[in-house]
Amino acid sequence: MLGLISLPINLILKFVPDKIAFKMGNELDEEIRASNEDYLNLRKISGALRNDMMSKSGKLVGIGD
Amino acid sequence: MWGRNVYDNIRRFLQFQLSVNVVALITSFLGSCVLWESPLAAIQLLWVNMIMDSLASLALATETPNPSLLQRPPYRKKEYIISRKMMKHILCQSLVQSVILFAIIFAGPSFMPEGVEGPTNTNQAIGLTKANIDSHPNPEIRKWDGKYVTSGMLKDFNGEQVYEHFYSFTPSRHLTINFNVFVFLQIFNMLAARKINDEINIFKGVFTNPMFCGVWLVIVVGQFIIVQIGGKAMKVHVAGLTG
Repeated sequence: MLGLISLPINLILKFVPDKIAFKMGNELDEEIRASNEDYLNLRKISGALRNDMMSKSGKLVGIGD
Repeated sequence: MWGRNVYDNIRRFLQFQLSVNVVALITSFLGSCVLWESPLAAIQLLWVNMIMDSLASLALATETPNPSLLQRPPYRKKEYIISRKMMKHILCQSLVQSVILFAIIFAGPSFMPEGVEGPTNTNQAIGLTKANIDSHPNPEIRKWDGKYVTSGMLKDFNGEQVYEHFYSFTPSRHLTINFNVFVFLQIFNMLAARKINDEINIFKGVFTNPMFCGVWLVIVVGQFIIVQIGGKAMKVHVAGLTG
């Protein structure tokens, strides 16, 4: 039964900030921030493109009718 | 989607494997320094190696992908394979598990109740009997009343025999319990290692991977069988699961 302790410990650790552990690798914080911004920009662009394409296809359907 | 899934599976296995190895190494090394031998016998470590390397890798590496993988940012070019989150789990799990095992190893004979062997036991097949205890060369051990488990330490700090004399009768129940706790900590840790991004529900989708369920059951059943019939070959006490 003592083995079950692994589970509550794992649950508690989910609420513990990651900062308590050290970071491996040589990635800089600025690079992480930049790549997150890139990702958000790409999401915005893809969202805008999708909306644009949907509205165009809607117009095309309207012409056909 | 498959690419992200493969990468995640490798991370799952690494998180699990590193925490197992850190605990096994700390326990074996520090235990050996104090107990005159490793609390986890070589044959037991081989079994642990088999279940945690081969079987667990099969289980964790066969997690199937799901569409939620595409809802999060891709891994960065320079991102290290062991993330800070994983490191947090590896370090903290290892620390807590090591503390539990050391509590059993060093303080077990002061709080773990004995209900199987001891002065009242007359059946040699289930453990130490009064005759075995009376034949011990160390007068301190001959005073053992059977209330708590007897230490599996080979010799005490003065070099006096403790469990060394009893090994010819049966392996230590104290260290068998320690071995069991170690394996079961890893068995449940394996369940927890399925989710490496701090998802709360670790059981989500567990039945979508039959390989994981099968391997998990094989390990649990295998551990029971080993302790019940492993005997002197596996250096386990027949009543190691009790207690």
